[in-house]
Amino acid sequence: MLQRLQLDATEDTPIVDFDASTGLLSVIGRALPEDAHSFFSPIQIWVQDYVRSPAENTVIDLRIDYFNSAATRYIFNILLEFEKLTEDGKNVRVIWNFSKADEMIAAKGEELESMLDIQFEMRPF
Amino acid sequence: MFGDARISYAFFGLLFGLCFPLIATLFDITVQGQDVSFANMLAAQQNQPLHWVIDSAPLFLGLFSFMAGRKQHEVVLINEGLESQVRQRTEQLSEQNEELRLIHGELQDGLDRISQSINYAQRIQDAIVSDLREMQSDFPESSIFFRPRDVVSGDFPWYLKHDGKHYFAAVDCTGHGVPGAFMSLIGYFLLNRIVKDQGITETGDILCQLHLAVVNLLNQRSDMQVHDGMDLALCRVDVEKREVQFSGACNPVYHVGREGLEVYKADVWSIGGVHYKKRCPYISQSFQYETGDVLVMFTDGITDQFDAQGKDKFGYAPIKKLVTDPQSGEVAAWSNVIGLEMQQWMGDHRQMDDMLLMAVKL
Repeated sequence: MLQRLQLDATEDTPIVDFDASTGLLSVIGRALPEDAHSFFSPIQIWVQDYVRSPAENTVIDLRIDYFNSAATRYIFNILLEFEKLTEDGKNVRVIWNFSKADEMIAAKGEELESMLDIQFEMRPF
Repeated sequence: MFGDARISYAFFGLLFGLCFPLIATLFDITVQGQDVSFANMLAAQQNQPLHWVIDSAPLFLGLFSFMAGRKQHEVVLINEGLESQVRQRTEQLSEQNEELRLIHGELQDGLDRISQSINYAQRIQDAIVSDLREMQSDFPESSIFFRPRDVVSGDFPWYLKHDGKHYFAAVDCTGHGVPGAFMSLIGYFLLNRIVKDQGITETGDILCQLHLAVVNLLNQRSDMQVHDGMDLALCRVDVEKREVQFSGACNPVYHVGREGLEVYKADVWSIGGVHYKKRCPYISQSFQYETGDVLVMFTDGITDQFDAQGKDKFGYAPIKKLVTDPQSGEVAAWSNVIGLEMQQWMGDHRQMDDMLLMAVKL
């Protein structure tokens, strides 16, 4: 079983908690790392391992208040990995949490939904 | 000799103690009406056994004083120990201080060298990135608000006059600072090459070509290592036909006309990097304009900037207000207006990204 991936938040990076046993993968916080590559690469590698032996149901719970343009690209690429699960007939769902006051994040979620073959659930708070 | 408290205390105790038998004996012979002489004193001592008790005073007082001196001596020793410890610590501290001073000096040197290097890089970026004087002379009532997060920037305004048409873009490269500046140079040269050398004129085609060129240049097709690229709003203005053609990679354009504000949305695909499976050609949108209309393009460094509390983002509303409110004044002054508003908005909060807003009065 893939080891649980847990990262604490910093000023520039979000909390990451990916649990392969339950299939609940959550990201909460801000994503504007100065070096986006070194932050996201281990996460991407974990996801690549995960999609090889995924849980029956995968829920990607995202609540990101800010991401810079580099982070946007890495997040998209990571989400792209999950499309393989859809192709394999597994259940994958992205929960896109966003503040009602933040139209940018809401729009970003809609854009991502249009760009990916993954089920999105928009959850304003 | 008197440096040691034990000896000096014992000595003075003894001396003080000697006063008692001396005074007692003198008192004795004076009372008896005898002359003061050594022989008489000796006799008084022999005749009065009480004097012997008094004679022991120097011994006891000396002894007690010695014991007090011993305590005093201990205190002195402790003090000396403490003083030497303090001296040692002080020495250690001053050594560490010196070490820190050296490290600080080295860091300062490094920082100075890096700053100088970046400042110099800024000169190059300023020189290369878009000759805005040409834009100012072709469109005198245009305005550019440009606030890099660091000295050099990943955002850049681009202007090119080619074949009777004018091309404008507000470009936001991934990253900021030095990596952003590298990308901005790539973007600048590719845009020039595509329009000037390759003769591509449709804005959608320019973006498609730009995407392919960035992917090609950074070898982004096979590995997933480099995700960099850019978001931009690109406009082509045909003054004769009074027509604007727009294409956007993530960033929109605002058309401010007599009837108010019209927002043209961009495609969702960024330039470069990401392997969008569903990627499709960029759409070219055309619209007519009248003299005096304004085109506004900007990067997300402005809209995404947090306020002083780090709670809310600047958003689109202040930009919409800027471009529609008559109180904003002449277009040429907009950069100052938005600059002041941004400063008030962000307060002490750090600037999170490069900021760029271009407003062109047609």
